[in-house]
Amino acid sequence: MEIKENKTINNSIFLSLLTRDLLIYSRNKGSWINPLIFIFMAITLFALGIGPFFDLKINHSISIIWVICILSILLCLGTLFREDFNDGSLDQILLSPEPLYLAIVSKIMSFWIVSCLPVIICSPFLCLIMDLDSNIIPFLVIVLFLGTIILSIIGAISTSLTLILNNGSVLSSIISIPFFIPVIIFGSEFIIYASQGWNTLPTLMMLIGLAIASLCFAPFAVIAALKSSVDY
Amino acid sequence: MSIATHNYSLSINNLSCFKGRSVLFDSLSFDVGSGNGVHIIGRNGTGKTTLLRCLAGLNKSYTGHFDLIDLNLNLKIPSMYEILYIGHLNALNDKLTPLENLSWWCSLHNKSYNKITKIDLIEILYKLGLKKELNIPCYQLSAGQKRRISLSKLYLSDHKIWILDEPFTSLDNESSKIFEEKIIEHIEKGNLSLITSHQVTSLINFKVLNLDHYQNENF
Repeated sequence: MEIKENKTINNSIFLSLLTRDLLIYSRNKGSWINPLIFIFMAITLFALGIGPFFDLKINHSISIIWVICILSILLCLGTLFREDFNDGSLDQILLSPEPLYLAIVSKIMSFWIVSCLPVIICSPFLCLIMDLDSNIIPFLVIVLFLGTIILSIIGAISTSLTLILNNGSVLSSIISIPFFIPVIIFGSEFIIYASQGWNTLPTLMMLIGLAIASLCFAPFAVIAALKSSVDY
Repeated sequence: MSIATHNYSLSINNLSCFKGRSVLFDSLSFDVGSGNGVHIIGRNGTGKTTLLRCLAGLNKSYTGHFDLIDLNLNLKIPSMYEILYIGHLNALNDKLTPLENLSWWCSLHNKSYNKITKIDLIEILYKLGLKKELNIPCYQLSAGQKRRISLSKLYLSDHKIWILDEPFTSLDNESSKIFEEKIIEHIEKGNLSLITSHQVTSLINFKVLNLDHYQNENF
């Protein structure tokens, strides 16, 4: 029996939720392996379909990478609040006197760490498959880093809105895809500008701005949607 | 006795609850002071759970109002800090062990969390007869064991009001007795507890609130 730990219990809602969620994800290996496998298989399918005879333009390959990242995030987002909603933990989170904003940010952050970070780490291989120039790699990592943060945060709104529907994943995708448009525009533009050697700073600033704005405002929308979904 | 024991009361005024377009119960008014227990009864579907979720602050589809009033200071108390709600669902994640689930819950809800250590949690679970189950994931436990872990929050809570929805379902007689004693002890300390239960309980001194009397047939 391990009774060595005489530590007092973690008292910040952000850290305690983050460690709990990461612990749950770590016991469920599929949660971080599956998105990775999905992205690589889908990209490989594209590469096979395009075939070896024509050169792929950079704007094609980058938009393929973006679309597949969006699909994988949409597929995983269903699990973000689902378990907590089904087992009643969500009630306890919402009833907590601690700031809910931090709780939501920590839930999104653990989701991002599990389903997006592995993809970002492996993104150099995506470059290889899509025949992108190797000097693009650092730019791709930066843009995926910022883009997946925005996608996860915006996706969290739609997934919390459709929480009461047992099978709301299609509806949730339909709600969130229009809001992904700025990310895909600036995200692709950033890579294309970088490949041409043009100034990428304005697009980078735009992406950082989008990330900060969504991080500031979206959690409030998520809180409102979650509160209405436990209203039964 | 001492200054620390504040008297407070929960007063419900003209509360009506809705589910969709139908009215569950209508113009419910009820006052209860600290040091009392309320046993909410009623047929299935009369809105017992909905009432409790309203009072806990989860359900917002109601009219009327309810307040938690500190009688000594004549102030409204923000109910969020004082209410412990344990619903039908156990709020235990299947992949975590009982210990991990409880310590997570403590970090959300226990105001004196700085004093609680893992050893305290282990002691409480030992007391409830969960010795072997400390470190196995919750999906391997039976419904009754999960319920016991969920109710062990009663030992960790420093909330004034306990709202318990069907706390004794799937518990064996022995452990329901332990929890009944805990609830009675809580009330004797001058706190308040609202429970629904279909089981025959030894909670004799409880005020009974029968929701059948608040049904409005006109809707």
